Amino acid sequence: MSSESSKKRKPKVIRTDGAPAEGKRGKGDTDQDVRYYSEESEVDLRDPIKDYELYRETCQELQRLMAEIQELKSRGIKENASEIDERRVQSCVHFMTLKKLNRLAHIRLKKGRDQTHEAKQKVDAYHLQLQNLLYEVMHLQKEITKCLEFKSKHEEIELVSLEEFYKEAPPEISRPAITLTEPHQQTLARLDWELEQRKRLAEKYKECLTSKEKILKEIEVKKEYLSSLQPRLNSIMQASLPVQEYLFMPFDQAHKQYETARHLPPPLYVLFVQASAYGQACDKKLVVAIEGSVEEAKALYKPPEDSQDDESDSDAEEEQTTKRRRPTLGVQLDDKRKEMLKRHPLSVTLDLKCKDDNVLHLTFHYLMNLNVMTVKAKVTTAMEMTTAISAGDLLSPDSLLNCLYPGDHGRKTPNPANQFQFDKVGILTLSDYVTELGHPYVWVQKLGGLHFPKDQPQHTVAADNSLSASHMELTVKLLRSRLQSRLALHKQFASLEHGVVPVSSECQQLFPTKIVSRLVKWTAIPYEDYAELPYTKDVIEAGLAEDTHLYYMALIERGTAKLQAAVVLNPGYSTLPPVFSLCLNWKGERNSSNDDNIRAMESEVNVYYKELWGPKPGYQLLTNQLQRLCMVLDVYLETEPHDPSVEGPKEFPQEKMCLRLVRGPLRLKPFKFNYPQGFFSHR
Amino acid sequence: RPRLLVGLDRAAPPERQRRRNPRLELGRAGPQGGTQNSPNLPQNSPRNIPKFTLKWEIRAWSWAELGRKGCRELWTRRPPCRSSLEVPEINGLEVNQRDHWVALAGGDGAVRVLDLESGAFTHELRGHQDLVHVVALREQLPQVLSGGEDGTVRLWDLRTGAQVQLIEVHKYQECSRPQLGKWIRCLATESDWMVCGGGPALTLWHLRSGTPTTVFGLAQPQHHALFHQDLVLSGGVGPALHLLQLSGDVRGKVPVTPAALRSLCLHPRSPEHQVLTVAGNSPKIDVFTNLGYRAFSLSFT
Repeated sequence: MSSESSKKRKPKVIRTDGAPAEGKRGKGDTDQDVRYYSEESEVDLRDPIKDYELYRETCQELQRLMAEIQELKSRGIKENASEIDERRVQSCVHFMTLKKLNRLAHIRLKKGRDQTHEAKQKVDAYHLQLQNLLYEVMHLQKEITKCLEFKSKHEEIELVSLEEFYKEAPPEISRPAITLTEPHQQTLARLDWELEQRKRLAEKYKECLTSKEKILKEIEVKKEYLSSLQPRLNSIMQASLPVQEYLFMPFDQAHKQYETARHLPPPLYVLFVQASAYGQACDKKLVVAIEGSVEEAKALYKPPEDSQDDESDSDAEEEQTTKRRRPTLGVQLDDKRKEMLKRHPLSVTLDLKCKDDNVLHLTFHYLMNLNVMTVKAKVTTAMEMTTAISAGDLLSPDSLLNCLYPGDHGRKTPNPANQFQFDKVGILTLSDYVTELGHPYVWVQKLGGLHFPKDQPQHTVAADNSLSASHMELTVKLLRSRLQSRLALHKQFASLEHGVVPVSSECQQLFPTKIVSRLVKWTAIPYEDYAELPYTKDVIEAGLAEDTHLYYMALIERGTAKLQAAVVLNPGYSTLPPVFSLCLNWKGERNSSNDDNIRAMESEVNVYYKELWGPKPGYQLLTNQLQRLCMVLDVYLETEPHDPSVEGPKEFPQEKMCLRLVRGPLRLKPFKFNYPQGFFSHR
Repeated sequence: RPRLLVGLDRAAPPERQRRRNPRLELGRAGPQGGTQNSPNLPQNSPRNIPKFTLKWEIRAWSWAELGRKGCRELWTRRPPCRSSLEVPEINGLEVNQRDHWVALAGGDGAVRVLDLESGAFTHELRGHQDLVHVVALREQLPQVLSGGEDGTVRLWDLRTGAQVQLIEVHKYQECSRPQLGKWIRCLATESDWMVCGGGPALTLWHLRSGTPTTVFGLAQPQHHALFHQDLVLSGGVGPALHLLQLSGDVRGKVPVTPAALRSLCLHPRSPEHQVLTVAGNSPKIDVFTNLGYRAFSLSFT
């Protein structure tokens, strides 16, 4: 039992005096110093190996004893009790030995640990020291390097070079004696000098700043003054307008025009410039103006960013519209056509005034995509003109400017490149759109400086000033004469329709005083009617009658004789004379193919027209020709030989004085009137 | 091969020439000028070609020179003129190759003869009351036939210088057509026969008896007629060349370009190369190699 209890007890520190180990802490403290085990001193004396051997022996003994006890116990209890007790006591002794050994072992261990611990601690301390020292070394090294690398701010200051320094600095600063030898002092001196200089400069800088402020203020004042001047100048300009008008020097107006002209497309600009120049230099009655919307013109040439925005917007809009409703193919094509035929929003107007105050208004447009110019014409007359029925086409805007130059009928586009553009959008020819767009005559292109070589599409045709200038004068003259001739014809037609052939006093000498044949009818006929007449074939074959010309029918009568005259009037009247084709209905139908005299009569008016021009500019040609026709009809009828088979006197007694009635193998009648003798002879 | 050369009246403005229908007549007189066709002249001798205009003068060009540029006339002759008020015209001429003289039909009513060698006007035969339109030469005898506006055909003898025969065509019922007039424009003669026409109908006359034997039934006045083999070729108002037989039948009526014919000219030399040229109221000259149809036309560029 006690062995068991001793086993149960923890290995406690037992005092040598045998007192129990339960001591309080307070007591324990003081006791602890006293508590000292003999084993502690024994440990150093005893040999561990021997202790180990002892341990082994003891264990063996114990084992032997236990075995014996066992044996004895197995034999019987009462007999061997004393042996068992003996053995038990021995084993107890052995146990005690073991315990001692254990204690020894523990103490040895403890001691060993303590020693190790101590040594370790020392080592650690040294280690720490080492670390500390190393750390400090490192730190110091860093500091050293830092110090070595330290750049003093003074090195960043740009100092003047040494020579300059010694030159400029006053001696009290530079102290050459000291500074030359010691670099430190030198640097200090230099820094001093730098400081002084900088202070001086800072002073100056302040002064300059203040003066600048002052000047700025002055500028402000003056600017205000000037800006207040602008409205005053405007008011002066306004006030001067009446003066300008009074003096006929419309500078303001011209200035405004030039401003607008800057937005014109190049061909129109060329036209504008040339026309203005010509008007100022040669022709006071030519007035040039610009019409149209400048904002739209500006809108055409927007800068790219804006246009990109616009494009994106318009794309969005387009998508929307296509989602809503698909435009038909025809509508798309129509839009494309409209786009191709688009006109520039600005147009140039030319007003040609004539002596009798009739005005020819020409409006020139520019078709941007086709690079051609077109013109529209209008006539305003000074007085109200009695419109003759036959004169309807004379002043019509459509045909007024036809063939100003020969062959220039203005129905086809003069730019050969346009044909390819037209093919894309299905336009056959520009003549379909001529009524709204105007006529693209070749002379219009030339006035705008656009020169298109025939039958060769060019890449770009740029407006050329010299081309325009060379054509301007001639074209303006032609335009004027065209207007005048048309107006003259207009007047003449009004008279002709009443059966009166107006002959001016200068032309009276071309005709005898008495002419019996009268003009009975004067009408305009269409080209198709003219072409159907049998006696006009020669004229058509000769190429003198085209559909750009104007056609009329005159009827001259005397008695039973009726003379029909088909007239083709060239647009270039009166430089190009009208051509007459005659047919006489009197005892049969006679015309130039079966009667030589009728042909001679035709030649009297067609070939010898130069006598009939009358006073310049020759607008009386037509009326003189008609009067001459009446005259030769008289001669023809009166000189007809009397037919003896017919009873009664001649229908037309001869009243005209003729030298000879028949001449030449053609047996022609005398159609030429001689003034002042008043007789007829052959040519 | 016949060479055809024509001359234009340069007075007419060029753009009007076509309208004026310059009648370029070959072989006979034309109002704007005429030439004698080279077949009438011997090929080997460079002959002068007498030419006249409606003026009162005769001009001659050398046949060889005509083709070159800047050719000028060889000579010009102007017959004597009576009145200065109105200068008459020469309406027709005929060249006598053998004796080298030219007979001229004058607008003043006289038939003149110009001697080509001396250049003098040897005869002035007066008798016509009005202008003389045409002259024709008799082959064997030195006689000249002339037809005029007064409706007469007169036969003149050049040796005596007197009128030998007078035929007043318009007085004969068979051929006269008073509604058209009595003027004689075309005249041709062969041996004893004569064909004449104009206002009166084209008629074949026997000269010795002075009687009309055949009247050709052509409605329109004829301007020029020719004897050819056994035919009479004639042209006048109307775009046709008439081939007439001496019996009076119309052998053929060939269409031509001009609206009226003024001048016919035949190549008389070689019978195998039959060439006829006609001209009239047209800027084109028709050429026939076969009398039945027109071969081609010459036109001016």
